Amino acid sequence: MIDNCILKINDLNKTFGGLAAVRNVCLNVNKGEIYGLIGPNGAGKTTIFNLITGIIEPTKGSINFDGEELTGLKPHKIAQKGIGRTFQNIKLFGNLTVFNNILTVAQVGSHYSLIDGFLRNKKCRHWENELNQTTNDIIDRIGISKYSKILTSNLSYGVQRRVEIARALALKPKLLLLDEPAAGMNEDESYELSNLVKKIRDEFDVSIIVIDHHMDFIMDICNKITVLNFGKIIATGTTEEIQKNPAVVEAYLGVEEDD
Amino acid sequence: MNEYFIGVIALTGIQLIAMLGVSLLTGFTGLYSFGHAGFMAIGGYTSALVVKYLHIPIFCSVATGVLVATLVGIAIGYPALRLKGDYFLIATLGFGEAVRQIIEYAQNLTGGAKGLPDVAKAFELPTIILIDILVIIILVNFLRSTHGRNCIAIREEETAAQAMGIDITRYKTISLAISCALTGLSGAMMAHFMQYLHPSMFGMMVSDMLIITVILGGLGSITGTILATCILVPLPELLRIENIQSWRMVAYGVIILLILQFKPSGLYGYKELTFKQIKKYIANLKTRLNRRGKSFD
Repeated sequence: MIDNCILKINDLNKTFGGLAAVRNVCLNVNKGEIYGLIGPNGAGKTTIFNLITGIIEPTKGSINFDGEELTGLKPHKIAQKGIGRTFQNIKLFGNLTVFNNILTVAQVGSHYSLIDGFLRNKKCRHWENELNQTTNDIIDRIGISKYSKILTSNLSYGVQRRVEIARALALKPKLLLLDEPAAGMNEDESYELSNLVKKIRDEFDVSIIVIDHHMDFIMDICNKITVLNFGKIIATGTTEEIQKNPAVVEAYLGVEEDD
Repeated sequence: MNEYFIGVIALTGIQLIAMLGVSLLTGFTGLYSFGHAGFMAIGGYTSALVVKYLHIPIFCSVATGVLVATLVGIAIGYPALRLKGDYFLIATLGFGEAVRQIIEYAQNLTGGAKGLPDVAKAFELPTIILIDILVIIILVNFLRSTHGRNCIAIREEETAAQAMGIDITRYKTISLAISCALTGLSGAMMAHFMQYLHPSMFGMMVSDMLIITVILGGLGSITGTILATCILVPLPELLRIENIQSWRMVAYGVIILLILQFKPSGLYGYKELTFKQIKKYIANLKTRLNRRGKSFD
């Protein structure tokens, strides 16, 4: 049982000045799971992602990823250990093509030295070929090959989100963090996206944590859900359990006043 | 070609190396430095003094100049690159001025405000052009490598680059080191070409010139930088006519304002001018001329 756990968050706390953004959060994500993280705006969902990826450091608590402690590590080290992510407000390399966006990430853990790069020698060219193939492979599998040569800043919102997911997959992650992937999407697009997310879990052999406000989308793809409110966990369980939970209903809809 | 004209071309070629260094740092890594003339000064004075006192071949002295400029760059970068946002800019600004002041102060060694005359002569135009070509090839190779792409990713989106496994401090340092090496090389070549050094040759105006040229050429474009250098560096020489002389900097300012207003990305922002494009342009021109020719018939 313990062996099956990819991410174990224990008693995680983060305060900004006097504001407790995340309080006593515990999470266990199993391998191959799609884990939903929901809650009203400002509940601390994205803060948890930022804590996991090391962009901000926790005030207290531990984050254990595949048997290794992540707290205190630099963000790039955490990424290299196998955690890929997307951002709520898309952060692609806007002036680069889709291909170069993904290539830049596919190369992480650099394969040849600076001198090899200056001279563009045999070793360098060999690796460049290899990297090109890896990149094209990912582009094909996510189904964005027709956008390959287009600058990402010129793409539509929906496609940009897919490119960002592809870019995160280029890291060959064991854990993928998706921050509101369905934001701004219509029904059809979010249906397509939920199929893509399931496909990614199966084909790329990756566990996924997803934040979103689209309940249909979340209920469709997640095995397990945690609901946050004001930085605190108010419920954890399967989709059915969450839907019936009175505390969740209260957080989202407020309490009914008795006359 | 008269000697003066050759001299202008040679100086443009020497400055181009410094411009390319700044282009890598600003245009491809997104770091703004307003003190790169300081690294030019370090390269120049080191090379000149090493030849003067140690009598080693000029090739070795230039290499020493480059090495010292690079090491100083790394030493400055270690604290400065950990600063967020515009503080790096302020740090380099202070550094550039400090270098100039130190050179002026260390009179016994550098000649101070009197300048350093009789620097050993080296570098003719063909050598300069050859070095230019080599620098361009190496720089383009670098930018096409994993290392160069990491720098570009930092320019584009620092947080994302970090979250995608790129060690941003390391690659900022690499970019700074290469740019310092190139600026140092440019300074050393300048010293031996002019055979004379003076602190005012490396003032803030020169740092500003470097970065302004890169921005006008277009951030993230090697060809843009080359083009802008070939236009802007000889320009003051062309404007060296009695009455116009004093209006030179005004003309500069006006050009910059115009570009910022009408083409803020610079001449070739984030694009490269390729041979293909030039061919296409010429082909288009030909067909257009042909058509015009026919309508005259």
